[in-house]
Amino acid sequence: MNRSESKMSRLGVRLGTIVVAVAALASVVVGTTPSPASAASGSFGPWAFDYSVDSTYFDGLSLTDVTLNGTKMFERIGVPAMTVYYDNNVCGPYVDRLGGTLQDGPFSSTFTQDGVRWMSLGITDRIGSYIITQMYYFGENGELDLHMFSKGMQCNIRHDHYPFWRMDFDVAGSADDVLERRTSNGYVSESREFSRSATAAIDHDWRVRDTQTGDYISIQFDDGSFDVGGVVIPETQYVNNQVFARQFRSSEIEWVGGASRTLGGDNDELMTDLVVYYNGFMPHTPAEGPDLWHSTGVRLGVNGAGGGGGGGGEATIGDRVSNQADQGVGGVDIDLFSEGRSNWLDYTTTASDGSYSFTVDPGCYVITFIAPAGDSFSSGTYANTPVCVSAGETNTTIDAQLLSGAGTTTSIGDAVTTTAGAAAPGVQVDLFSATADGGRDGYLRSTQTDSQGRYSFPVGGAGCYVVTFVAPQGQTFTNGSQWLNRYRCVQNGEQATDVDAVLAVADGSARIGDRVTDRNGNAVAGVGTDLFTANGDGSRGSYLRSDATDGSGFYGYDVGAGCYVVTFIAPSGRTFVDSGTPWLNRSSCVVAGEVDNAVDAVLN
Amino acid sequence: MDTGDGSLPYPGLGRLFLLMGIASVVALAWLGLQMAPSAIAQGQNQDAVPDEEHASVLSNQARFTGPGEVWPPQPVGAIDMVDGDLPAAETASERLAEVELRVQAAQANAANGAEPAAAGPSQIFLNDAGVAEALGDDYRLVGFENRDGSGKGRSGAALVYFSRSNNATVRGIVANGRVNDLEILPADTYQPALLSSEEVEAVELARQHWRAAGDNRIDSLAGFGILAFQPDGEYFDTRMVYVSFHVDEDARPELLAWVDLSRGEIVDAEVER
Repeated sequence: MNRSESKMSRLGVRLGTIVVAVAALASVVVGTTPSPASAASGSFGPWAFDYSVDSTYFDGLSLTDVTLNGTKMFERIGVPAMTVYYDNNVCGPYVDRLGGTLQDGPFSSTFTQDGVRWMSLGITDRIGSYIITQMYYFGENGELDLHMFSKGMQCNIRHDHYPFWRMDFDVAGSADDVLERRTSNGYVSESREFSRSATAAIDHDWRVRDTQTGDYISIQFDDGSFDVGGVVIPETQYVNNQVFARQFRSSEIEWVGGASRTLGGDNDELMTDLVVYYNGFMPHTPAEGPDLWHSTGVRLGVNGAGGGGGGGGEATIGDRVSNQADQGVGGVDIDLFSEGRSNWLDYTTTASDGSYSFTVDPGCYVITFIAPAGDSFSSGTYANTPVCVSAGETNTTIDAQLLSGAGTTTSIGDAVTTTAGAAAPGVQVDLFSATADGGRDGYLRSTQTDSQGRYSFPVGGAGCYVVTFVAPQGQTFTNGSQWLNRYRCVQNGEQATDVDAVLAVADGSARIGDRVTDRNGNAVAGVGTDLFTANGDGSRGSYLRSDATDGSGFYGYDVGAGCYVVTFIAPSGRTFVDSGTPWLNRSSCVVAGEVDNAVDAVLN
Repeated sequence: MDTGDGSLPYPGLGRLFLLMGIASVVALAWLGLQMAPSAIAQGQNQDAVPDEEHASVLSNQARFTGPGEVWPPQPVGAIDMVDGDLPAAETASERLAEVELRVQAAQANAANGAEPAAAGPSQIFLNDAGVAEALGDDYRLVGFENRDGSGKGRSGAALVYFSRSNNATVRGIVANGRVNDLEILPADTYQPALLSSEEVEAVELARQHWRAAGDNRIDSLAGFGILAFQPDGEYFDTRMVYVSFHVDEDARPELLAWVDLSRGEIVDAEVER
């Protein structure tokens, strides 16, 4: 059947539906009330789902109750809005909401590409003079691609489309799902609502994991290798993409705002039923003309429940162990641990040229090198290196160098942070020797966390210890207590850096913060901010402390109830839009427990 | 008040559009100044995304067919392609048409003194006193869904109307024979998506305007409508539609108009330059 025949076939089905509708009308007249079926069910390979074009949510072609091999993955996926912004606001802005002016679909096909069998499912809508096709691609390997194609020229002005995909994750059920982002220290869980740049994760590596089953779904944005077409978004512009995490609310299934680049509803709420929005962009210039189409998308890869994670399956980690003369050293033992060294997984020994490798599933690991007797690494007898790999990736950069005859040190340390992710300086930390059952024995010494929230205790040698953290007056740790005990055993030469603590934001405290961007909404990192108390007339009072924006442009202060002034300091040669100067003062008054995440600044 | 050249001087919103128009002219003039003559001749300007980011140079590694080929784009190198056999989902327009038919049938029965039909959710919704007051006399059905409670939303029949009389979205859930969760959202805070029928209505009003203005092109151009927003992204306080006329859907706009469907009138119009 060719494409036009296929359309005729679909038309026939639709006509059939209308006939059914007329029949339904007749039955209404005689007193019955049948209901039209607005959703249909589909399946392909391991996938099963319902799909519809909903006329009250207007989130385009939506998938609901999506399962993989019978395991629930998503409650709902849709595109509640694609906003459009023109240079200098000469035209628009607009909010494209799919489904109201449907031109074609839902339509589907199956095909094989690069050895993988896929099923496509999509609709085409025309909104103004934009032709928009929204597609889903289901892979038999457990991948699900979400794509948006757009062409047309509503106004002869350069503009950007910003599609918002809404993904209501229910991995093995709605409970126990956590959103994680990859950092240099492995994956970090996000428990509260947030709005961040996609680049807050290394290589834009976000995932949602069920903490009970371990199944997880990776969220990857196009990197040009699987989503080329129309215009390829340069990786340097990924900072324009945004990730929003929200607690599920039925009132937020549809788009409730006007034309906006950001998403409302960020109440810093604890997320017990996770919804993730991914916001990409597609630029379009008049010179490209109306018929040049653009595409962007998200790739969701299920790992677990029979899903292969997408792409290449297993990954490889390796490199070599050398001496100071850069000669390979054979016979060195190497352990493979899960993330955080929580579980030992495997071990190997270097070959005569010093090389080694592990074949692993996609994920994060710690490689532990063990120095032969009489040798050591710069870190001591053990050298630990965290590493994360994606499906099909080969990472051969995890090496170690032996320092024959070097002295060894043994230590325990890490950092204290707040639930807001800020460093907690000045926190008292006590070290005790440990009893056989892990309790505290004799007091050894104390220290305080430094300006970065870090601390470290050198210890005499192998043994087990208890580290006691003491929260500042009026504050508690996430265990609800002012004290937190952590038990840790170390071996000779080991430098343990995983004994941390997290301070809860106490009821009596509040938070001030937001983001620094340029006029295009791009995050600006490293911008200095100073926090002052505010005088009665709103002017600056006493200096309190300073912070700088992170890689995503965010900064923040945990404060007590009261009024404050935040002073932004522009990078050399730049000014702020609101002040026209290199300085900008913004004031904020907060009450106990309030979070004011709207103290922002825009740079020229 | 028509000036004869298709443009309308207009108070209130017109001032907003006048500012937009001035900005548009200034921006276009600026763009013109930025474009070297050779670039203009080649249809390029300095805002264009660099060539290396376009599909034309990446066609050999593209996953989808490129611009100028079939729509929607198809996977490159796909083999064993077979049209899918998924059942057709009923479309929103079909669903809305059915609901309208039910309402008309109920009204006809009532007018003819016939035995009243069992009340469907749309009749229950429209007969609710609060709904009737919120809708006024001039309204349109824009959304209807039967929810069976299998998902996370509330079960029942979800109905969405836009009242042109009161410029508000009126929506609620009909379940167990009564209206629940009734919401009345002023137009400047929320509006549902534009429907095909509303687009047709707006395009026709705009076409009449340009015809009256004596522009000979209007009957050979295709019209397209899109829900309009204010420059700051906020909703208008009426059902405002931006209409553009093109030779076809792949062509650039030539004539423009802003149509207020609530008032049934043209707010502004201009020739695209």
